[in-house]
Amino acid sequence: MTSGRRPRPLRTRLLLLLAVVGPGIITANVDNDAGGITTYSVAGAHFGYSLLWMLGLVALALVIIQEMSARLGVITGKGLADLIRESMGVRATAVIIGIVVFANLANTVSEFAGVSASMEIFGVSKYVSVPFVAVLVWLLIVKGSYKFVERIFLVASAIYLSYVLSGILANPPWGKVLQAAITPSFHFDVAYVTIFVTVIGTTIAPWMQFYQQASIVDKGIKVEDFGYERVDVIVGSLFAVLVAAFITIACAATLFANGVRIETAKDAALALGPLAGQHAATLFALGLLNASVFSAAILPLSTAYVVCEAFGWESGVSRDWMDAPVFFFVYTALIVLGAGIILLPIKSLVETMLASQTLNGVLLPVILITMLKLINDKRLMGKYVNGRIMNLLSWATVVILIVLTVILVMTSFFPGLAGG
Amino acid sequence: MAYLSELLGREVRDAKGALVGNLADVLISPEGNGDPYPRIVALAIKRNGGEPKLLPWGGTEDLAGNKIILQLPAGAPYQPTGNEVFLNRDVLDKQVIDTNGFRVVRVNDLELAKIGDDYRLVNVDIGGRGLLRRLGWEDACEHVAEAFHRELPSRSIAFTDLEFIPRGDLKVRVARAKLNELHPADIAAILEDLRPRDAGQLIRGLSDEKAADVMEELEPEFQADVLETLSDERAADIVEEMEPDEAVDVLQEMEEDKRAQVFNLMEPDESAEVAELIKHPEDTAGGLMTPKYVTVSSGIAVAEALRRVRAEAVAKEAETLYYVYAVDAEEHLVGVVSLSDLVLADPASSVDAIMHHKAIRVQVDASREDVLEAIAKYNLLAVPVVDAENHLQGIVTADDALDLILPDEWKIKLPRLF
Repeated sequence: MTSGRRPRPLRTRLLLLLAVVGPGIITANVDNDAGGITTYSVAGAHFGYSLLWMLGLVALALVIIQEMSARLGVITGKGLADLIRESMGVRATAVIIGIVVFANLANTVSEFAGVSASMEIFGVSKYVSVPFVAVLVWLLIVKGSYKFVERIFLVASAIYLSYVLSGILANPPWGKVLQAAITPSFHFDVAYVTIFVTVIGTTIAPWMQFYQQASIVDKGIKVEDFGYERVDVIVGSLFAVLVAAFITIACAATLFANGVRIETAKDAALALGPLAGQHAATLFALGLLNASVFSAAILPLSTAYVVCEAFGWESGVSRDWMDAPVFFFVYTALIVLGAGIILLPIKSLVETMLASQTLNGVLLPVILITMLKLINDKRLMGKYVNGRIMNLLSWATVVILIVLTVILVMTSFFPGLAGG
Repeated sequence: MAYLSELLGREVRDAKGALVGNLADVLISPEGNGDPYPRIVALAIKRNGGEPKLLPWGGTEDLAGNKIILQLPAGAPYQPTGNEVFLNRDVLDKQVIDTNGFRVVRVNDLELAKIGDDYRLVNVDIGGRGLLRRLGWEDACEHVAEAFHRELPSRSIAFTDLEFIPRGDLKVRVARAKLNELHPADIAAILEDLRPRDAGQLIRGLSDEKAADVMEELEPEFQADVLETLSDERAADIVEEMEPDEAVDVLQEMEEDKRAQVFNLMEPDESAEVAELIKHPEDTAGGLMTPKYVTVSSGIAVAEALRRVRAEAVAKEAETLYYVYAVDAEEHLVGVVSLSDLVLADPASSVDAIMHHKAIRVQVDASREDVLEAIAKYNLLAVPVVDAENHLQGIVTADDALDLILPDEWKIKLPRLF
C-alpha cells in the first residue's frame, strides 16, 4: 500500500514505520488487562491446554477486526463514535454508546479488582490500594500531561513480557502444548462455553475499536501510510494473543497439572509460587498490577472522549470543569464507581471481573455489525470498502460470536440442555 | 417553526392530494444573493426504498401540518446546480464551526421558520433539547424540568454564524470569508477542536500569511500533524511565512522524510535562516532566538542610523523593533540602543554616544531558564544572543519567552488522548 509516487528508500520506509507505529501496539497492551489475565489464568488452570487451539482463531478474528478499525480511522479521518453518530443518528448512537459506557464501567471495575488483588499479594489491603490508585490515576490525567503518562505506561508495558517468562519458568511439556494448540475440541457445558465466550470477549473487547480508531485519527495517519499502520495493528494483535497464550500455558503447566482450582489471578499468582518458583509468582503479580493501573487510567478517559465525541459536548477546549462538565463528569464517575464497587462487600471479586468479560463477548456483535455497515459504505470509504474475502471472514466472525452467545445464554438458563 | 428531525419521514402529497412519498431531505442554497437565512429550494422524497427524487419547492407550502402538500404542479423534477446543501445528509449530526463562539459543535437539529411567507433555515440546535427531541424524550423531560422549576438546556447558533468544515464530499463553498475575518488566535481555538485532517482542510482555505499566524498559535506537535496533511509545496509556503524560530519548532516535530521535502521547497533565504537556527538545541537560547533583528554600526550618526533602520528590509518583518543593536565591523555586539532613544536623540550625535555599552546578553548555549531570568531581571523586551566570540547571532523576544512559562498555567488544554 504505497503512494503512487516514486518508491521510497528502505531507510525512509523504516523511519515512517516507526513514526506510525503506536496505536495498534498500545491498544493490544491495554487489551491484556486485569480481566484478561484472570480469564486466561482460569482457562489454563481449569481446562489445561485444551483452549489453546482457539487462541489462534481469536488472533485471526482480532487482526481482521482491528484492521477494519484502523482502515475506518485512516480513510475517514474520524473516530468510531463520530462515524456512528453521523451515519446513524441520535437514537442508534444513544443505544450503542450507552452499551459501551456500561461495558467500560464493568471493565473499569475489573481493573480496580486487579489492583486490589495484585496489591494483596504484596500484603497491601484493598482499602488502601484501591483509593490510592484511583486518586493517583485521576490526578495523573487531570493534573499531569497525557504524554508523560503514556511514556510511563509504554515503558511499563515491557512488563507484559513477564508473562512470557512466567510461562517459560513453569517449564511446560512443549510437545504436548504444540499438539494442543493445533487440535480443536469443544464440549457443551456451562463452564466451558462461558470461558470460551469470555476469552473471546476479553481479547476482542468493544472499547478497543473505539480506542484504536481514535488514536489513529488523532495521530493524523495518512492514507498513503496505511500499509505501515496495518503492520502496527497486526504485530500488536499477535503480541496480545501471544501473551494470552503464555498466561494460559503457565497456569496449565502448574495449576491444571496439579489439580489446583483458582478463582482469581491472585490465586494464580499465589499458587504459582510453590509450583514454579517465587520469581514466576512475583512476575505474575507485577504484570497484573501494571496491567490494572494502565487500563484503569485509559478506560475512563477513553469513555469520556467517546461520549463527548458522539453527542458533541466540549472535550478539547480547556481543563475547566465549567467548560467541559460532561467530560469530567463521565471521567470522574467511571473512576469513582469503578473503585467504589470493588470496596463494597457485595460480590466476590472474580464474579465481577469474569462477568464484565462475558458482557464484552455478548456486546461485541453489536459493535461489529455497526463497523461492517460503516466499512461497506461506499460514500464513506470509496475504494477502501471491504473486499469479498474480508466480508466473508468478518461476517463469519460475527455469526460465530452470536451463536456462541446464544449457546451461553441457553446453557446458563437451561443447564440440563447441555447434559451437565 | 418546524424542526428538521420532525419533518423527516413525513408524508408528501402533490397539489391534487396524491401520495408522492416520504420526506428524505431538505435542500437549501446558501449562496443566494447575500441573504443571511437561506430558503428551501427543493425536497428529496423517497418512495418504496428507491433513490430519493428531488422536487422543487414552491414557496407557499406549509410545514405545520402532519403532511406536506406540494404547491407546484407535479412532473418537473428539480435540477440541482451543485451548490445545494442537503440538510439531512450534510448538516444534521455533523460537526460544524460556530464562528461566534470559536468552537466546533455538533448539529442536533435544524430549525426552519417562516420569514414573510416562506420557510428559511434560521437556527442550528446544538443543545440538550435537540438531543432529547431526537430521542423522543423532549416532552417528558419538559414536564420533569417544570416540576423542578428549571428549563431544559437549550443552545442554538444562528445559521449566519455557522461555517462548514470543508470535506471532499461537501461541495459548498460557503462564505469562507467568515473564517478569514477571525483573529488568528480564534481560528487556532477552532482548529484545536478538530482532528488534524479537518484542521488541514480549513487551513487550506486561508492565505499563507493568515495560515502562518494561525499555526504559530498552535502547539508545535499539532502544527506538524496539520502541515503533514497538506501538500509539500503548500506546507513550505506556510512555513516560510512563519517566524523563523516558530518554523524551526514545527520542522523539528515533522517526520524526517516530510521535513526534508518541505525544507527543500522553501525560498533559499528563508531556509538558510532556518538551517542556521535548527543547529541549536531546542531548550537553549540558540533554539529560541530569531534572526529578525536590526543592527547598525556603532560609529555612525543617529540620523544615519535611523535612515538605515528605515531602509533595512528585515526591520519590516522583525518580531519586535524596540532595540537596535550596535555592532563593529566584525559583527561583534558592542552596544544596544532603544528605538525611542534613537528617535529622541540629537540627529547629529553619534550612536556610540547614546547607546548602552554593557548590553545584557546571553550565550547561544545558555539554558532557557537563563534566558528567562535575563529578560525578567532586566525588564527587557528582547535579549541578544551571542556566540563565544561575542558575535551577535539573534535575539529572543519577551513574548516567545512568555510562551515558555505559560503552558503550565494558562495555555492548558485537555490532554490529547493519543
